[in-house]
Amino acid sequence: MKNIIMAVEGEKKRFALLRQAFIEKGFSVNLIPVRGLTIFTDMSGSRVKASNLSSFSSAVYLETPLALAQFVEPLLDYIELKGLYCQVHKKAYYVASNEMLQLSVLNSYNIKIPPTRIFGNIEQIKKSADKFSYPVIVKIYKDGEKIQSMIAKSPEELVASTERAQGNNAIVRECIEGDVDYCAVIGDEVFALRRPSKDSAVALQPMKNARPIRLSKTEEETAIQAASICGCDVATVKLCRGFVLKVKPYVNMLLFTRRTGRNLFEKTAELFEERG
Amino acid sequence: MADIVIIASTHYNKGNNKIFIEEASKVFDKVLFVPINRLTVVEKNGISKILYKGTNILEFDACYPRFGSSDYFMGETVLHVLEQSQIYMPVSLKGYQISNHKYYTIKKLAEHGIPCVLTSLSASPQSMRNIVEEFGFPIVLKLISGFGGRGVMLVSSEDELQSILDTVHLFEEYISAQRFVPGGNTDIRCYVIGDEVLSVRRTGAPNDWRANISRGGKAEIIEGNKKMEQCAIQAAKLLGFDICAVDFIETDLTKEGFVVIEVNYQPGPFRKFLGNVVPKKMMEFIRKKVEKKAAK
Repeated sequence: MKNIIMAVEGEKKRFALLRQAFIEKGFSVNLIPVRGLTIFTDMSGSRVKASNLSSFSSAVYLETPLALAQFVEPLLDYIELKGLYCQVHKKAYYVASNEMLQLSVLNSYNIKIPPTRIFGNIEQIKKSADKFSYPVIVKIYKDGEKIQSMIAKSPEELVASTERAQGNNAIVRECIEGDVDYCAVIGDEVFALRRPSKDSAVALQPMKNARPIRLSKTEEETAIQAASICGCDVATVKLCRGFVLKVKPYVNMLLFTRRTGRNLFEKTAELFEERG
Repeated sequence: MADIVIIASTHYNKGNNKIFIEEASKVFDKVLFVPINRLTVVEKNGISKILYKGTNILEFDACYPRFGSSDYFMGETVLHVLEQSQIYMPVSLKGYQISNHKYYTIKKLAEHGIPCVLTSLSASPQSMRNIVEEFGFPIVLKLISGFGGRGVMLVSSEDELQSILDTVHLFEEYISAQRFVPGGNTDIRCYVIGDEVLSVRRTGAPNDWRANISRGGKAEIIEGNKKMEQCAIQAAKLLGFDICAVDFIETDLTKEGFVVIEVNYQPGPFRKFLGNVVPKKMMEFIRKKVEKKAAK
């Protein structure tokens, strides 16, 4: 029997369904909370310990909140060194946990992203206010955590909105107006939900209004490529008119399965059958 | 003609940076000094720029980034853009990410045979019980809050540990634990500059268990241990650094007689004890690299 370790942290219902999908594909599953793990290193090498696990020796499904990036990255390094398959690769959590870095990485691979400026401090924004096509999205960060997000429709609004802001970095990104496609990438397959824009075109309707759509071949390729560049075989890629807005190293499989009618838990288990 | 940009931390130490600027001015035709928070990164149509007052710093010949973990996220982004460009820099994004993580540093170096002591990383204080079973007391605990270190503590008993765990639990921090190496309060810092190593012994103040210069300790250049210096060069190469400092403690716990403690990607120059020696060597090295690159 094939073994798989699910090292996860977060939503329990979703992980229970994924575990079931793995079992149905003939895997023996060991589900462990990431917070219960300890990695030890000495001159004889590294080892991972958990209360119900003596070593990592099979494929690993790894999913945690991005806040655990500093723990996940050495763990991914360990998994890779052991030659084990995991649906996320080294650097995936570093890239996902820093939106500024992610945009820069995608742009360096010629993935279409909206024109973006990343500011070392908020004061700098004023000096660049005339450099954008409006509207723009402004995101303010403090120690890497997004603390504020707003839309500015003119240079004056941009300057006014940042005057009250507290934080140490900011991203100002030109708005790509239109519906946003949430793409679940599972290996070479893409499953998409379209979240329609409101009348104003800048804001989006609630997620409950999202509907399944079929992407063009080019859009599918963009989503897969963006996920891969960000180190993920399983990822959610947000697309708007061909521009990549964000990549997350996990998929809300429950939501996509309900809305698209395709079983993404099963698709993920098939991916591990093929690559694990 | 050759020019260099030095990127400092948002809250930079004026004294330290002044001597880097002084030494850079002796070997470069133009020196630009910029705190990282004054930079703007532009990402558009597959092209990246890093602007400072309208100047794209990617057009410089060399860059020496000297920002620390307090600028971690902007630092990662700036280093990524620099790495994609033609500019020469003596550090790497990979090395920056790993050297800002004390456990990850040890993991990387130990796996390549560089002597170290048992070190661990846990994502919750609940795992501390397992760690104590492995390590016993005393134990060195390093708290990692998000990105970058937040403090190092020497824990000698169960009572001390419990009071720390109560605090850590509140903040949901990571803990890196390390076997305590009794080495007095001295360590050896190996400045790596290309293939050259300058060994410096640091001794902490009499009442300090760490070799901490900023708390009243001292530093002196010593005749280096060749094996240790080779390990320092190997560590630098593994992390993609031409310039860094690798810190060791001498101990009889390993057959080599020393263990690595950490790698510092933007080491201080210890001007009070060493004068301008370190920045001078660093800037001369970078200048030579630029010349070699131009000659190709």
